[in-house]
Amino acid sequence: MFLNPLLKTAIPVTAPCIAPDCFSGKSVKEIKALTVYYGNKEKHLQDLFDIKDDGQDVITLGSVPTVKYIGKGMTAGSIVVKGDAGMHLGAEMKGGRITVEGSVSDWAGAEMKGGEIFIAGNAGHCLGGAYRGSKSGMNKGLIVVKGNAGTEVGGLMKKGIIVVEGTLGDAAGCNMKGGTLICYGRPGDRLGAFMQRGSIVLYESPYLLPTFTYNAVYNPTWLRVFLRELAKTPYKIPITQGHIEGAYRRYNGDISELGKGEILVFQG
Amino acid sequence: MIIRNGTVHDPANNINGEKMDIFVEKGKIVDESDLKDTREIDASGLLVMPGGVEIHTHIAGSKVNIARIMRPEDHRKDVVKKTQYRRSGTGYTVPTTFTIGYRYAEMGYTTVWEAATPPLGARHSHEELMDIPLVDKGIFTLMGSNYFVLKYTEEGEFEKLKNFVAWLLYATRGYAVKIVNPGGVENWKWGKNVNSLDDTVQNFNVTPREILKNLARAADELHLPHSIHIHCNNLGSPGNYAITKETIEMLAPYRRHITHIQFNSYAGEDWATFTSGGSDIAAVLNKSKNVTCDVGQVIFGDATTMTADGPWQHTLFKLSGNKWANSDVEMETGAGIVPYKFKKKNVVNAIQWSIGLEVLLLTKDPYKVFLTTDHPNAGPFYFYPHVMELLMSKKKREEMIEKVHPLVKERSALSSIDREYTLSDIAVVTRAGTAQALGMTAKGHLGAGADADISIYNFDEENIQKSFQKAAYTIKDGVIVVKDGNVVADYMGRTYILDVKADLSEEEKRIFSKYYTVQLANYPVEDAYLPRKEVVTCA
Repeated sequence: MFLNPLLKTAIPVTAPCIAPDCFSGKSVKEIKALTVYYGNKEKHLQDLFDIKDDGQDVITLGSVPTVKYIGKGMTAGSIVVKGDAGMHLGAEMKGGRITVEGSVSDWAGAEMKGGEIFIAGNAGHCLGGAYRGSKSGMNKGLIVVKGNAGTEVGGLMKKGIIVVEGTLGDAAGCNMKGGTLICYGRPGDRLGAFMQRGSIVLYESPYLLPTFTYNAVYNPTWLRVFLRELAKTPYKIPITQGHIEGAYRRYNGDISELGKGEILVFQG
Repeated sequence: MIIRNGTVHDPANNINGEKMDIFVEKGKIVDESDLKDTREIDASGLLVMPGGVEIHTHIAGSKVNIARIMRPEDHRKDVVKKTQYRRSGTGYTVPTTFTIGYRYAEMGYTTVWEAATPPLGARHSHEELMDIPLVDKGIFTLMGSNYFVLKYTEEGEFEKLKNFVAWLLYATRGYAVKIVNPGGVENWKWGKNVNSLDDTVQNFNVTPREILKNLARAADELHLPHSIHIHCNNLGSPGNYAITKETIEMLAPYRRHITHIQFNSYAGEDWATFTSGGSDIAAVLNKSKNVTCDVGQVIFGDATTMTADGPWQHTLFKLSGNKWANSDVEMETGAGIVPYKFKKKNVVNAIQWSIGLEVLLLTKDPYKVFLTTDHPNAGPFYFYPHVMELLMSKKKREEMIEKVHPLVKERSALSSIDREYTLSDIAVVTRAGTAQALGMTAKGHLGAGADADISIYNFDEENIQKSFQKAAYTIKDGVIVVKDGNVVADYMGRTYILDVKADLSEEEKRIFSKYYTVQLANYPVEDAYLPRKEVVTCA
């Protein structure tokens, strides 16, 4: 299915129906009649998109920087965005794969419980985060960002993996309760604030909060296994043999909380 | 209006399942001879009951609003769309004001009572009550740890205390005296609590026993329609059924209402030996007079605990690790809020669940024990139909017992109880009994002169929960507000207040101006906050 946006607009479009679960079993005519919100106005999908059946199960979208909730809660299937995507991409998704060839806005993969999101450009704030008030954010799944990411990446994350190849904004991994956050660029301030458990792996030296204490320089066994497996994914994550075999400085924290989280800084 | 051929359950007038007509004229139920309005509702095959009267719920005021602010995740999962007759909102454990009104009315409830208003928050409570449509409402005023109450109890000045209680009910436009963990809330200001009826309150030489006795006597001597409404000491702690029993017994012969008694019916010495004290409490209720209680039945799933019992909320915060809000209301009381989740497979939660049902089923007189979930402390109010189903069907109870923690069978008597509630029993614990305990003569029955608050259900014995969840009709003051489970009209209910009149003495005024952060002139709630007030005479 190919969806090409008919108009360039600054008005947000709320379209949680753009998901394989919703499209499956529906004819093109039924898909065209699905409800979306254009600002606060109810519209049909065909009012905003030129919908063509290209005979494939994959949902392909043009550049849709203001379309929100693409792939919300999807459990299987695949979505490809040939450009930018709006907020809440893949929020609460449970399975399947979303590929974005441009950048995405905030809350991508928020509270996701499975599946994979690949972002070739930059990601916004609260990537894989928890909605306000929730007990946990991302819970299983994989997010790979080739560019930079905004603030509060992986906030309240419980399980799963986030890889950011560019820089991280402030408060990355705040309140983390588990899972792994890997960053190849420079991380922002207050990294891992209030984290209870979980791991943050860095390849550039960070500015750490005083509530993280230095433990040792070593090569974590789990990371060797972990990086080898991660290198098998199709996303070309720049993992080298040096990363697998090299030494890392380990800090534990946040000691103002439980203190069972760890920050591993690559030393070479 | 004539409601034709319904199967009427009106236990207050000894009508139990008779086929008869009900006549409504100008918002009241009348005899056939006085009828002029000849519109008809065909109720053949339907169940007709008086409108539900909720005796204890937390729906308006400062602590409810703090809970709304601190639980955005709660609103997100239950979004309510607007229709032609109703506003949009959110639901689940702390619904928006309008949604509260709609959901009560959809279940056939027509009167609700906000059970704990700090006097300083009374204006706020009434403002929110103005936004709760369709139902009649009112507030209970918190007094158990009020500075003046403690002072006069200490000094033995009963007449001054009585005068102050009357003035506070007038100033807050309250309806009853609510007492929460007497003495304990005051002690919490120093990080402490009280653990027995004879512990001393910090800086006041008084005990919870004296506070309770004085307020119970004051409520009786002022002829308040509802007795004192007590949230006992030691709430939530294992072994607390003893203090509940003592409270009920030592307050005789005064009238007393023990609220959410489930939270105060725990036996055992600690969390590991936690067992049900439900049968002991039911035995005390069976042999005592002038006592009523509501259960606070646990509903599995999300809840938001909110109470003026600050020390207990801190304990719960430490136990659960969930977020916590604490609030101190200067001279008067305090409050705490902690979200909580009752889990079927948690042994303590499962036993708590069984205790509520045990008390409801083992108390012989249904006029003594009422159905509540202490919304939203033990669960949201719109799960009442689920509890009704469990009360009416032993089979459903057994199904539930199989799903919960297996220790329930050993530590609670629930699985051995055969009693099944009749429809009339349900009508008592949700309508007739609560109205009687609240002293509301025009509610809870369908005799001539009663308010035309009527709920009509399409009752199916196989599907009791569904039958009570959405009323076929809810009629409020003769106006059809709900039809087929949907709100079909906007209607403003009354606010019930008392005709008590009292003034503060010069000394009290001096203390007030010295220690309160507000001026006395700004303290009492004005009539502007009562769009439809109904004054009840104390006699």
